[in-house]
Formats: sequence, structure tokens, C-alpha cells
Amino acid sequence: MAGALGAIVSLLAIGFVEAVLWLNEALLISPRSRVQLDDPRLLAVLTLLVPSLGGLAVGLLLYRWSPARRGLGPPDVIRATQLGTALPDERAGAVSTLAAIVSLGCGASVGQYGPLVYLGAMVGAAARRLRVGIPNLASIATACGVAAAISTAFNAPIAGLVFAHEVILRHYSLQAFAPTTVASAAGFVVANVVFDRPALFLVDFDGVEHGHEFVLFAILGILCALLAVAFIRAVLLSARLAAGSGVPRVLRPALAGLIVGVVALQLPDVLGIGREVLRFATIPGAFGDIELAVLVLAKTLLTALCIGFGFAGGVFSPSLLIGILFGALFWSLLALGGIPNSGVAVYAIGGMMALASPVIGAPLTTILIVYELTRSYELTVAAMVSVVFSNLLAYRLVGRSLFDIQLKNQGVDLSEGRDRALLQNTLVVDLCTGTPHTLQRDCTRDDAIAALIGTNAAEAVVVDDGGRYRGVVRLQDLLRGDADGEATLERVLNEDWLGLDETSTLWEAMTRMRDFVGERVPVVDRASGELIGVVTEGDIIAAYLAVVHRVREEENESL
Amino acid sequence: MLVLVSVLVVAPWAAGGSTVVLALEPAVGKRSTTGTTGTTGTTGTTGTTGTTGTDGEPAVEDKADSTPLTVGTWGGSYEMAQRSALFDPYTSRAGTPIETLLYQGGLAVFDTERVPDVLDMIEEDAIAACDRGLLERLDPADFVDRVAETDTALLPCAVAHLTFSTLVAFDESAFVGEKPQSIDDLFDVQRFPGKRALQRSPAAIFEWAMLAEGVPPSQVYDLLSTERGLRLVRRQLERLRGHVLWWDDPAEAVRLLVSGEASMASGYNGRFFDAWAAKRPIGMIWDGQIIDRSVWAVPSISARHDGRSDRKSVV
Repeated sequence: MAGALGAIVSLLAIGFVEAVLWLNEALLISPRSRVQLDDPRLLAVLTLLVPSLGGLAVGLLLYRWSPARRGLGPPDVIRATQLGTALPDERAGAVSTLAAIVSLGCGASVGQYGPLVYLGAMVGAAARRLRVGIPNLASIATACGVAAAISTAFNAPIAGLVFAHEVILRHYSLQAFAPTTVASAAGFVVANVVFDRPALFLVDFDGVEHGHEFVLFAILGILCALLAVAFIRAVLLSARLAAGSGVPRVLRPALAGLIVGVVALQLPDVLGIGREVLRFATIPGAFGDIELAVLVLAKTLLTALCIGFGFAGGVFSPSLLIGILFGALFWSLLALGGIPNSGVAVYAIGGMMALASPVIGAPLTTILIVYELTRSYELTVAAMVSVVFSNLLAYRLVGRSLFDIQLKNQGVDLSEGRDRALLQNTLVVDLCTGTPHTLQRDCTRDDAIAALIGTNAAEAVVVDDGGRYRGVVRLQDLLRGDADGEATLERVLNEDWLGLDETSTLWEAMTRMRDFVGERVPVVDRASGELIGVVTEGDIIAAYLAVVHRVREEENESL
Repeated sequence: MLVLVSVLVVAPWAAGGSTVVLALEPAVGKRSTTGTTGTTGTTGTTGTTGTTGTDGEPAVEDKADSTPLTVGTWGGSYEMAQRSALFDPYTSRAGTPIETLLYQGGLAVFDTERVPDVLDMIEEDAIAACDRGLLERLDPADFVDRVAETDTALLPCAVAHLTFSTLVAFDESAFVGEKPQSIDDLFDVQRFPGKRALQRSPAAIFEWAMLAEGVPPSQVYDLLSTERGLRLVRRQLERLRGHVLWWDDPAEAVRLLVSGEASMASGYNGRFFDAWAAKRPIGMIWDGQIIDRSVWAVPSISARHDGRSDRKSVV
């Protein structure tokens, strides 16, 4: 099954990429098509129109046809896998993929790997319908799809496998490892044997010539971390700006597209994925220093703009581009300073990966991608140094990845591991067992004592005649000596008892109940004040154990 | 592809053909893998073409047409080989004499007074001419019996019949120790000194400049489509400033190499092989060779439409 899944995903991924390339040719995004148009004025007009109209199309697609109303990507896959929930609606996924093809085809400054990852996950999710009886099938199938997608896209099966584990699953279990490997390999076979797709990035590299260069690689890594942090912050800021801008959601991508078009009139290199730019960056002297700096800045800002304003697409390809340009700039300055070095290739590729890895939170994957793309061990080791230093610094500054920040903003905090995220996403309301024994507010003390004895409880929840929560009454309060047996519960009520509402999570409950002494906690509807139910300490503990057990089981089982 | 070309071009040489005509004849015949089994280098077997080739136009077979058919072709020993292997047999079978017109490539011929009835073109010229409507569209059905590889040999307006390579050759005696082996060496005047004989045209040299920068062949044209790419080409060419002898006639390239005026020369494999067969010390840099095809095409303004299928059948 994993093999079939991998093959299917691979074919779809190839179809996706070919569709984008075809659109790039047809819509005059690719240099080859642009150069063949004889009329420069027409070219300028089209450069402005294509991304703008593409943006309009994307806006309409997502706004009208997608239940999720936005492009979907790796954060959604991570969320579904970590929390054990389903991916967004299939229609949302299909529309998102189409929107991504249009976005990329029209030259928006976004990436292709994010949508491909989501595509793989979608196919994997469809497989879970098969009900083959394998535990944790959903996350395994998703991982398989994702691995196959990356494997096909980069011609890098090992990187695909590691990506699925490092970014999506975030644990290593034998149960997932075997099928994911098969799927990844299947993707590779389809891409290479069946289709004979070319290797993405072969460069000539004879080895690091000077020992001091390893220090330079580390410095490059640190600088890339700073740039990556800036990029991440730009993307997040852009989303906030878009929300506050007053531009209707449908039109936001069109606006971003127009700006991309305007910039592209001067800098056509910013359009689309930029394969040509990737290649140029490895040729020494192909870019001037100022050109490199301008392109780095332009691409960073435009990508942030496009993603924040609603184009469907990923961040990985743009990060690779920004990184490789920055690496080339770094090398160029080295050469200017007369520092001996081994050539532009190692700095360009090191920069490329050192910038991209903190953005997606995948240091291992990027190191492997370097090896599988370039087949050069020396280059990989050099890049490894840059990647490691970059990730170290970026982690301290922003955390694991852009995806994690985006998820945190949605209420899924993975920074302390999956357990906490799961606990934060389980609602206490779902744990309420049975109908709680309640007492009416106007019940007498003697009746209350009798009721408590009768139900073998030491506390009771008190409500008024509208079912609204009033407080909790304890047996010890009722039995206090001087009380009048005919008085109502009003005066012995504890109104500031610990209370939870319908939005309270298991995590919150556990934290707040840490110093709690008592049997039960009421769960109250925030708006109406009505009592929804009651949770006991026992319920909380049982739920917590269930979550932990589930996670450990998934991580430690073999197939 | 490389092996195929080498074998096909070397084999006739290896067979010891001392005259150019014999050396090229079998090459032309063999190279027509378009299934022209009837014309493997000898004149006699063309008689068999009558049964298979002209099914589409039976009327023409019987017509004894004495108005000459004009064929635009490249001249030199190549044309001599064609006359012997193709034109003369055709004339003896169909009765139509064939006149040749010198054609050196490009589309300018379509603007002249005398446009040939059939043209021996380079594939890319044929594609461009076809796009502009200058060539007759061909019906694959006319070739169905003769063409084995319909997808590669048959183009919308032309039929491929020959593969050749544009490459860099060098004077063996100019480089005693290390021989040039990769296309970068063309531009490296320090390690491989001497003049280069290059065609006065961007064809080939631009691609070589990109390849010398390490660009993979699949990306060469993408990068050449940008200003930056052209800048890189210029940068490479600058390395050759003062070291270039320009040629227009391919024979000149060989002559410059053989005479020692140039230590490297760009040109066509056939001519270099002639020189090699004539025992000149010429080596080839196969890295970066640009493989092209020659195709037969019929200009759309030609008056002789009926001659077309017949003509192709001989080929």
C-alpha cells in the first residue's frame, strides 16, 4: 500500500510541477518565453497583468470555492498529524492545490514544496478510508504521502523520508519508518526510472581547500539565521498587515500580484520559482554585489507580501533562493576581502540550506537534500556546519520553525512537545460524565445534607431554577454547628469555587487544579451561565493518561 | 546519440574509403534510419522504391517529367555524394533531371528569385520556416511505409535524413602534453594557446560559453534567454579576444586548422573526418558537441508539388 501511495503521489507531484512549468511558458513568466516576445511594451503590460490577474483568480478560487478560505500547507498537515485530527475538507485541499498551481504559474513569489507536501498528505489521508486495521494509519499514511512528495520533488528519497519524520511526525517509530521508506522510494522510482527527470542541482566541487573556511561556514550560518528570522517575522507581519489593511480578502492576492509585477519590470528574477537564478548564483560573478543585496531584499519582501496577502504557496523555494543569493553575496565579499576560499558553490549552497532550514524547521532534511542534489560529500559536510549554526541561533530567537509559530497562533503549541499540544486541544467539556447531581438554590440545609448523604458525595453543585450555576456547597459547611436547618443554601454557598467553561482545555484544567482540594469542578457555559456538567479529578487524570498513553503507543509500536 | 554518430561516421572511414564520395555515401544511406531501405549506397536498388514509396501519388510515377527539379544543398563533397547516391538514381527512375542550387543555411533563400523546389535544411531552420508558413506541410501517410521512427524523423514540414555534429577540433601537433578534452578548454588560452577558428555566428559559440560555465545542457537556453546569461557569454568570449580567426565557409575552418594557423577550430564532424581520413593530425573535443539534423523540406511557394512525394521516396 505504501508503494502504491508513493507512486500515486509521485505522479500527481510530477503533474503539478509540469502544470506550473507549462503555465510559466504560456504566461511569459519563464525567461525563455519572455525573450521570444518581440514587443517590449506588450511584455511590460503582461508582466503587470499576469501576476495581478493570477492573484485575482486565486482570491476568487479560495474565497468562493474553498471551505477553508485559504491556501493549505505543511502547518495544516502538522496539526492534523500531531493532534490526531483530520485534514481540512477534501474540497478545500483540491481548491488549494489548484490555487497553488495558478499562483506559481502566474509568477507569484511563493514556493512549490508546501503545496506538494499538502498534496501528498491529502492522498495519504484518502488512504485512511481503506480501514486496513493498522493502528495509527492516518498519521502513517500522511507521512507516506509527504515523503513521496518531497522525494519526487527533489529527487531525494532519503530527504523525503527524513522530512516526513522530522517535520510532520516529529518522532521516530518503526511503525511509520518502514512504510514511509517504501513510499519515498516509490516516489523516487517513478520520478527517475519511469520519467527520467533530471537531477536538480549538480555542481562541481573539489573539496574544501582551507581549514579556516569551516569558521566561515559557521559565520555564514549565523548570518543566515538572522536573515531567516527577519524573513519569518516579515511573513507574519505581512499577514497582520493584510488583515488590518481594509482590502477585501478576495482582492488581496491581486494587489500583491500587482506589486510583484511592478517589481518584476525592473527585476524579472523575482518572478516565480527562479530556477535560472538558482543556477546563476553558483556561477562566480554572474551577479554584482549590489544586485545580490537588492535581490535578497526584494525576494524576502515580495514573498512575505504574497504569502501574507493570500497567494497559495510555500516558503521553502523562496527561502532556498534568498539563501543561495545571500551565500553568493557572502562569498563575493570574501573574495573582495581577499580571503582564500574554495569557490562560490559551497557558500552559495551552504547559504541556501542555512537559510531554508530554520524556516521550515528541518536541519536534517536540508543536509540530506544537499547530499542528494549534489552527490558531493564534501559539500554536504560544509553545508552541515552552516545549517547547524543557523538552526541553533534561529531556535533561540524564534523557535523551531515558521510553521510552529503559525500553529501557535492558531492555538496549537508544539514548543513543548506533542503531549502538551494534545492536552491543549482536548476540551474539558468532552470529559463531563453523566448528569451531575445538583441542588436547587432554595433547597434547605437539612434536605441538602440528606441529599448529599444519599448520593454518597461531600459536595454538590447548586443551580437556580433557570439551570444557571450558583456555586458549590460542601458537607462541612452544611454541618457547621450554629446553622438553622430550615435556611436555604444561599449563605453557605461557595461562589468562588474553581470553575471551568466550555472553552477550557485539559491542559488548563490540570494547571488550575494543581492546588485544588475537592471532588468536582463545574463546567459552566460562559454566555448563559448554565451548568453544562461536572468533571472530577478522576476524569482529568484518566484523560491525561489516555493522551499520554496514545502518544507513547504510537511512538513505540512496530507494525 | 554520440555513439551512434561516431559509429556511423567512423565506420565508412574505417571501411577504408579513400575517396570522399565513397566515405560519405554509406553514411548518408545508413543514416537514413527513416527506413529507406532502397538506397543503401548503391544505385541499383532504387528500383524497389517504386512499389512502396509512391502509393499516395500513383499518377506521378508514370509521368515522364523533363522539367528539372531544383534542389538546394550544401555543395562540396557532400553534394557530390548526394548526386551519386540520390539525385542520379532518381533521374534515371523518374526521368526528371535534378539541378542543384547552393544553399548555405538560413531563411534568406525564401526571399530570392529562385527558390528551390526541395531544400536540404538544418532542422531548426526548417522549424522556423514551417512556423512562418514558408514550407509545405507533409502528410505522414505518404511516408508510412518508409519511415520506421515516425516520431523523430517526421516533422510537420520536413523529414530528417542526416545527423551531424558541430564541435571543436584541435591540431594535435599544437598540444604535445595535455590535450584539450572539455569545452572549457576552448576558452582557456593559457593552458591551450593558439588561435581559434570560429564561425562568424552566435550559433554554437553561445552554447559553448554557457557550458564552459558549468551550466547543464538542459538549462543552457533558459539562461541564454536572460540579459545576465548573455553577459556571461560576453565574459567568456572576452577571454578569446585577439585569439580568434573568423570563418564563414566551413572548408575554411578545416584549412586553418590543417595549415596550423589555428590550434582549435569549430566546425562540422564530416569535414573534420575527411581531414582525419586524409591523415591530418586532428583531434576532436567531443564534450559540448552540438548535434543537429539535416532535413528535407519543400518550400510552399514551389511550383512542383507533384514532385514532392516522389522526391521523398527516393530519400
